Amino acid sequence: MVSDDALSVFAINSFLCSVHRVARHGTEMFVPLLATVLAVLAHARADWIRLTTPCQQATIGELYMHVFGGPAMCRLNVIVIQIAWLAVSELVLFAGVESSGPDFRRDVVPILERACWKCHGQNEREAELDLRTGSAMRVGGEGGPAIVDGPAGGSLLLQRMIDGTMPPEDEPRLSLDEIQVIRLWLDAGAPTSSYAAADPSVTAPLVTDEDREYYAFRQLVRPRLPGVVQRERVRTAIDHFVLARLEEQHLGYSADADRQTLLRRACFDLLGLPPSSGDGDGFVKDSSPLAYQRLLDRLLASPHFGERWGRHWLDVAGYVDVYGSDENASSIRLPPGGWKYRDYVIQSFNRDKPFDRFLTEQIAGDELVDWRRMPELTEPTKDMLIATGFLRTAIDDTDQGVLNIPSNRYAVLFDQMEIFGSSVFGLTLQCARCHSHKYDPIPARDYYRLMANFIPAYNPGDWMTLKNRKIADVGLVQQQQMDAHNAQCDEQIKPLQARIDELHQAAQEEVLAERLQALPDDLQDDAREAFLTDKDKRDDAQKELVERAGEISDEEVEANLDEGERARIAELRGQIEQVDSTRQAYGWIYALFDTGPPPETRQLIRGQFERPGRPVQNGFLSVLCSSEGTALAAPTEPVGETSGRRRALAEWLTSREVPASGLVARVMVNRLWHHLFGRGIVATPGNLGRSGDPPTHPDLLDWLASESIDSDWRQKVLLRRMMTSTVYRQTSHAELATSSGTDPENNLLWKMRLKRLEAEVIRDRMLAASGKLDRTPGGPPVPLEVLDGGRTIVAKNDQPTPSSRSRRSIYLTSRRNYHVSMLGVFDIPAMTTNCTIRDRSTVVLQSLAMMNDEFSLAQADEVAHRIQAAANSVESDQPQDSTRLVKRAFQLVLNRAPSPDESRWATEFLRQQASNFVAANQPSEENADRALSAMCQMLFNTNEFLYVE
Amino acid sequence: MEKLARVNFQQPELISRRQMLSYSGMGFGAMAAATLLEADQLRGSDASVSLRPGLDTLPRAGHFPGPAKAVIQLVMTGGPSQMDLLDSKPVLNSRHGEIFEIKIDAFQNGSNPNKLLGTPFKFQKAGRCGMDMSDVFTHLPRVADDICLVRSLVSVHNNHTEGIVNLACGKMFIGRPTLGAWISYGLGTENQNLPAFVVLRDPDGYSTSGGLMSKSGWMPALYGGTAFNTRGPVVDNLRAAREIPAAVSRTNLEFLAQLNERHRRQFPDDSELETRIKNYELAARMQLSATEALDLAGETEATRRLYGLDRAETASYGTRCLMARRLVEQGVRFVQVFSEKGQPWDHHGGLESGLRAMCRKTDPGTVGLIQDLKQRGLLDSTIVIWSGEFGRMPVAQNADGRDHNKRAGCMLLAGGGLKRGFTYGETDDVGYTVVQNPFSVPDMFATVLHQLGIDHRRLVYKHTGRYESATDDIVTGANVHSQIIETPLQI
Repeated sequence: MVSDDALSVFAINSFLCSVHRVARHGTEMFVPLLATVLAVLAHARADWIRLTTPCQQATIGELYMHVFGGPAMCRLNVIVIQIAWLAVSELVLFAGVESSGPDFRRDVVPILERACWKCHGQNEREAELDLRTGSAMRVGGEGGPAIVDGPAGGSLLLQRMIDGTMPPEDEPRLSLDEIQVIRLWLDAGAPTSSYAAADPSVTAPLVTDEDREYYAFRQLVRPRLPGVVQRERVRTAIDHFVLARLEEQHLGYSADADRQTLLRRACFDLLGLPPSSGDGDGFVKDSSPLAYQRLLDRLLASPHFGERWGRHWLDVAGYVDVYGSDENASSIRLPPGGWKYRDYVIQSFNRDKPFDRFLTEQIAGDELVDWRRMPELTEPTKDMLIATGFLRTAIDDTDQGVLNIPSNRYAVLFDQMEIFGSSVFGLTLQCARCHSHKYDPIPARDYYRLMANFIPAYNPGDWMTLKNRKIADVGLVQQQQMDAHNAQCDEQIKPLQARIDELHQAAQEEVLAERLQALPDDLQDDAREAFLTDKDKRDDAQKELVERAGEISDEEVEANLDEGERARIAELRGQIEQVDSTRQAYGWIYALFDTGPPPETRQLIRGQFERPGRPVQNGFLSVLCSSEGTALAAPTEPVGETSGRRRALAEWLTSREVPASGLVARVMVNRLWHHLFGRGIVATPGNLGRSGDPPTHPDLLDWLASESIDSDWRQKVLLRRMMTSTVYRQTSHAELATSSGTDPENNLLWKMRLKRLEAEVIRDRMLAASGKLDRTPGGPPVPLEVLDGGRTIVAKNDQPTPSSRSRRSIYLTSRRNYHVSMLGVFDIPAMTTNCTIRDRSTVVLQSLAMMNDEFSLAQADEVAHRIQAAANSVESDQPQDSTRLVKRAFQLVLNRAPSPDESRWATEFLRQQASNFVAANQPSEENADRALSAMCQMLFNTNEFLYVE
Repeated sequence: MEKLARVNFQQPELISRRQMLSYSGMGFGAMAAATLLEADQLRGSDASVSLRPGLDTLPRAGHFPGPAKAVIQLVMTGGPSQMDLLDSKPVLNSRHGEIFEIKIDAFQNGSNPNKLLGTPFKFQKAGRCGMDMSDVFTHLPRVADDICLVRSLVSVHNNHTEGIVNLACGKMFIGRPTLGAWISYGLGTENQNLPAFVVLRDPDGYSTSGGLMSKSGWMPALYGGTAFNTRGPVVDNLRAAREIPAAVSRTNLEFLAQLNERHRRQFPDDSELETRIKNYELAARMQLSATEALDLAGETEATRRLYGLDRAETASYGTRCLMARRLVEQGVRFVQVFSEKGQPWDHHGGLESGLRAMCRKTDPGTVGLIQDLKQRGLLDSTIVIWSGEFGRMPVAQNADGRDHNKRAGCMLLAGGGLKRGFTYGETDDVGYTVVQNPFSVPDMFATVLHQLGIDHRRLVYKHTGRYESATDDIVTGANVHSQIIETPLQI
């Protein structure tokens, strides 16, 4: 029998503790553990009960993960632990029934939650009373402490329940059993710590120095360059690291790629566009050894660079143009000024804004300047406010009244935290919301410390709906002045309009009088009333009357005015126009800002907002601080009416003395590597934690991260360095590559990887080939059109200019779920939160789209026209020379010359297709064009078109 | 003992991934195997190799032979009212107008003053089994002896989106793979010319959160649902946007093959390129098979009538039901059919007329499908699921409606070796809360997967370092409900 509470509590605690240790240290802890369990079991009563509360189930689930989801263990351990696992489930089951008094978490909280918290909890504190925690109850409210030490009867909490005053009449009643539970609990001294005692994270050191030694978390130190044998292949420091790893495996670099390939690679990687003839000629004809460097400099300076790399960042930020969950295909809702964030990101990349500054603006731009008091917003200030759009990307449906409920408000906060975690830290932060992280040293406490930085802006207890989270782009001061001025305009217009109305009315009276006279006398009064009733409010009888007399049109009234009246009205209208022209308009910035003073932040038990636990202070991830003591944010002097918490967070993230900056830099450089090489040094760019992939080149990662900080966090500098390295310049072709040897997967980069183009690049490449690409930068997103059945295309009408349909894909309205069909099939992400790595699927719908989609066919036609037009404009004896057409087609679509084989096949193809069209009775004069268009379309369909070599 | 059995059962799985692979041989999915293998690699050594699972939907055997081969899920978005349709509550009717002593856990306003609302419909005993069903169903009684009525559906949230996500994914968190995705991942599909998971929507519009019901979540997109159009061309881009003569198409493809072959030789290790080349062949096959699969012209007049295709009101949903049968017949693994755009079963007011209209529109299609599957011998191998995301309240909202109720709802199951003419689970006197045999969505998943030959605890996919399953039974407590299975398998 487990007759003694102390025994069971002791046993459970020591067991839980041991489980943790076993999970961490292996078997040596196991024998005493098993002994403990068996000893307790020997006393155990043999009847079973079902687990009753989610809390217990969760504890078991959590435990289970610790044991089985933890780091590598030998098979034997697993077996042994599983036996113990059975034992402990038994034990935990017992604990539920064996303790004598009611358990706060299990028995008391559900009662309070149902009966009291609605008014005395998170969202409301009637009578200043909060009944969510023991300490809050002891503090009490206006009526004094809710609970006091001593017999239960002395506590107001119980008195109110017994005399029936609480909960109030229209609220759920308490049963006698429930009141009895409260009484017993109070008699036992109102203990609230049972959960805490069973939670091993309370007593164990939460984050150890050993945890801080993990490759991603440790303080960044620039590694020394390793020596290499094949020194002739070294172009940059990066080559030292990559080549050294290859040489360990007796491998080496492959040959350099040829110039044409390198040109295409650099253009797609940096701009997401094929080389223009200018780029090509410049580079290919430049015989200087610095030709390649000059090419990179030109590309890095192109305004298209920001569109390419901005898109990568928008992915990790989870940016889409629409707000809300975007579940209705035909309803496209755009937030006011939301797209400005997209342009801000593009501009920041184009200007090579240092990444630390870039992050700081996005996390706390609104806290860097006192914008609330600024007489006007300067461009840099606007930029800083727009930048906070980074924290506005989570799904927020709370603008729909019925969905403005606590669970959805918290969901916004949680989702935004998840996005923040994977984009900035490269960590699965969200795991630590419900329990301490299973793999990484992130206690739930740290999750909530971090959350406390965002809560002043996203306060679920005092929620600001999406619609109001915007700032006038002229600043508050001017906005007020302008609103006042516009109100004044209204005032001025009112009498003018009234005068016009009067004149109209008089004229209308006259017409009406004529109408009424035509009616029989007894109907005239009713008819008058019918005419004076609003059109859509007339009843059937009135409608009939009006119809009988004849509706009075505006023209009729107008015609009844005399010259003088007409002139007077024209004059009045002129005056109104005059006033209207002085109206002042402003736009919106879709920003994040603190909506009020910081509320208390509490750790949420199991991540459930209904179950607030202990309060936490705003702070950081302890594992990324040099010591526990530095994990709490020091009080700062905020700029303006804001908490300054996000600013403190940004400073912590980017200051090089703190280990956090090391992780931020590692995540950033790994992402650059991922995009250039098709796979990151860590293959899971959104997860550098223990459950992510380990780095293939840890030293290189650290070297790049150090280098990035030392280069003032400038990403262009880093990209240039990576791309000038030999590793980047290698061929990807097998026949030119060295032997795969011991690394068939090419993890170590003995050749360049083949990279599939992203959806946007595929579409843009087609438009570039056809010459139809509209390169206009920025502005509101290009409208889409949803066809019957949900298929989405770029809108055919209502475009700002005819060529807007052909703008770069980044400017098309981006949605969470319903993408332009052509982009959707090529894995543009369904943005639930954010996207740290794109899918690269190979599905038949892609072939169908390239083969049959209207867009693909139309662009092929355009390429054909372009080729024909060029051929016709050149004075040539042989305008129909098909080899030249073929050459031009290959150049435009695949950005290279055809091989002799290809040229032969293509020429034959043109001839064959022309006769096929003739055979199909198509009008002959267009057959050559059709054949050429078919050829261009097949070039779009080649595998080559979808990949960068 | 139930819990123990569950926990106990997990041992062999955890101890012997490799053993499992060996006894499953080539049978169990290469995909699932790849993930398991990866697990071994990650646990066994610090090898940096990380396999990305291959992308295919080739057919594969489950963990054990199961009677069912396919699933058709009929989605009744909005929350059909159990006490008006399938859960007879005489006490509720006799107490009509009284104040309900339990203050309901309302989602919206309008349910004060908490007055009980009896059903406007009469209940009848249907079939030889005497199943209780409301007379608002005019066709359903015909198949009473073929279906299993679950009156104890429990959901997790009183909002549509959460409820729908829960119905789709077994948990209310967006981002998890849906049931159809898990099944496609686990079993692949019989017909390689069609997707494994097909979605048939109301062509007039999406149903509320309907897009979330067919996602692959963090699994490869391949396993997600492919929407087939139920009006006009079946698949987008199945035919070229303009007429292309056959000879031209042929010459096109020959030329393309030449170019692709030359390119592929430069990258012999890259299987993706080969898949793409094959996809052009598949695309050509699909042009035929998808059109054929859904060409209803060959269906007899009797069949068309059976599904209600002869009447405008019932034709839209009926067409989708008939298409579902066609697809299952052609070897598609999972078909999802939506009743109507929006949330048509969401009757916060106008309950009586609303339910009458919905039943009138959908009853023939649902019943026609079950009857047709049966007469073609397909019902034994096809599970039909009919349900919404939750049930409704026993008290009146806005005088003649009911608010959402996660505590109780109803579900119909048919075929695939599930019990016939069987009623399962019970609610309290007024239908507010389930009191016997609570049947959660994860329980439904576990049971359906079991009938397909899949052990829900052993079909896993690794996501952010955790082995995820369709039911996440550790957290949800999902169980196979053997009480509703005709012949429970020995597993």
